[in-house]
Amino acid sequence: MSADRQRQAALRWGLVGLGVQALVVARLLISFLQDFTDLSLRTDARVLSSRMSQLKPLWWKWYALRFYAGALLLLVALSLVALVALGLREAWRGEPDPHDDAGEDEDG
Amino acid sequence: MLARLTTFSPAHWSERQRDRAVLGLLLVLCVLRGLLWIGVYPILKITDEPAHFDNIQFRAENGLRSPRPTGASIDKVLPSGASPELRRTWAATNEYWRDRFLRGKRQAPEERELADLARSAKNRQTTGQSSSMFYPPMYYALAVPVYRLFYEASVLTRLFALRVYSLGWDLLLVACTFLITRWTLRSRALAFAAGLFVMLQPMAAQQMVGVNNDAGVIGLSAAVFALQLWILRGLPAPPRLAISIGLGILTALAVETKPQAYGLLPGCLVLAAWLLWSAPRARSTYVAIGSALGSFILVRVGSALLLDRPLLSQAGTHSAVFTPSDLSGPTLSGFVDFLLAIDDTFLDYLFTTGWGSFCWLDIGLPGHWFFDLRFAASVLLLGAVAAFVSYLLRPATRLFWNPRLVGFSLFTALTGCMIVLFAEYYSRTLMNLSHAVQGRALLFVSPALTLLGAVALGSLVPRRFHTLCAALAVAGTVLVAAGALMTVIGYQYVG
Repeated sequence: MSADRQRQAALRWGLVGLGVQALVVARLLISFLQDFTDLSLRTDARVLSSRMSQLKPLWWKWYALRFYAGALLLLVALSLVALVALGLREAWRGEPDPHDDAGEDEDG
Repeated sequence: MLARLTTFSPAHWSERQRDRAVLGLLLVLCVLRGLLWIGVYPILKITDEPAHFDNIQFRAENGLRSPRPTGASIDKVLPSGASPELRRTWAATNEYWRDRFLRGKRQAPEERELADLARSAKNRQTTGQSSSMFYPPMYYALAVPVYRLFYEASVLTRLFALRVYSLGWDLLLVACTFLITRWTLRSRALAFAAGLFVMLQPMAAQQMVGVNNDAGVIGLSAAVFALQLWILRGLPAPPRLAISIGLGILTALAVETKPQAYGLLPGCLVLAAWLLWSAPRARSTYVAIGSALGSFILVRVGSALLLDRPLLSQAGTHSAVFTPSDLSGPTLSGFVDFLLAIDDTFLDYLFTTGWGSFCWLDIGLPGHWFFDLRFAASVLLLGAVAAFVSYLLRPATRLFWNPRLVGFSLFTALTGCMIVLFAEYYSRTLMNLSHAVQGRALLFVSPALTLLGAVALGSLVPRRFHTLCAALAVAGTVLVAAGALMTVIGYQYVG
């Protein structure tokens, strides 16, 4: 098989593999949205804030929890964006990881 | 100056610097995640928290002395001899639930009351007669300084401080998982996803912020496994003395925390046998094995002497909690029969309790999540088959994973499963108690299982797609974790 055909086959194989994994994530996203919508419909943020603040030391009152949640979400989102950007570049260029042996970036 | 500034750009970082940066990011995420989870989970409602807190309190209030059975009856939920402040907290946490909270207030009257109770020593006194008394002492003994640091502060402060102490073990788990995955795989992105996975897996996320010895054994087991892989990477060269001693100490500490850590001992034996086989006449071989064994024994004997506990009665029996049966004792052939008779129902029970059974709140992830997780598990199984086929067809140098380290991880995962299944068999034969062991008991081998999962996931695509593959894994992990958190919030706080 020529190098070009090998590359094409690897690309198809990669897209199928990623597609299956994307299906899993899509299912999880649907589950998440289901629960999120359900919870949002039942939640009044002001009531929730007072309920979640009780029986806690100061560092875990509602305003502290919002800070932890916000910082966590921001960092996770940035990490995810960076991973997608890097991943797209690697997939496009076929750029091997510096740890990899040269020319073996098509192996699974 | 400009040249110096450009060296701070990630593009100029060495591989090691990039690894450190990713590890640092993971640890920051772990702290933020932990603080959030600690605050969201209602007080005393993570599995067995009152019993574990009671054990720590007894030791802290009685000069590190271990609680001993007095023959009094032991309640599984809240020990009847628990301190007045713990009993008051338990009552309050049961009272403030869903729509029974005080509207428009940030502080409940009980918070002030509990702060006042803590000032008197008699309100902190407990008989120590809780179900946690039968566990080895290390998690509790190491928690005593944290308790003492907030000695006369409200019991709420001490409980949250101890949750943060458990979070320390989570940091160890995440760091070790990232490192071992990085040593084994060529993709840094997959190693990041692995670290994030052990941090956010719903049951691990719960147990690693609870006052619970699960946190200790999971963190210590991760450290033991990391040292085992470190030694394995260097074989046939014998490990440095500090590494051997470290392995002995950490293994002893893990075993002294919870009995399932015995599942890591076969891995130590394999390493010792490998060393003996590869360099049978080298003095360094015997120094390495001897120092590991010596430090293991030293820590165990030291623990017995300092913490006032019998050396050999490791797990004890929960005879005061459960009624011993008149069934025959455990035997090897009986265990084999038990393994052969395991059915889908029990495996499904392990799966659900390993992923999302938030006992004590008595809720679990909704059913649709388990449908998705089973789908994900079958995709991983497909990846495992792909990895095995690649291993058979390709030379080891063309694999993106290290076969030796992956083989050892598989062995550790299997021994971990065996010890957990043996615990179930043991409780069935001695205590006539079925389903005593939950899937979360397997979390102590979560770094090995996660590593195997990362190999399976990476085997589904060519190497150039590994970073995208890791991005999908991160997205999936975050979604499951967020779903679990919403389940807890919805159940506890939303009427």
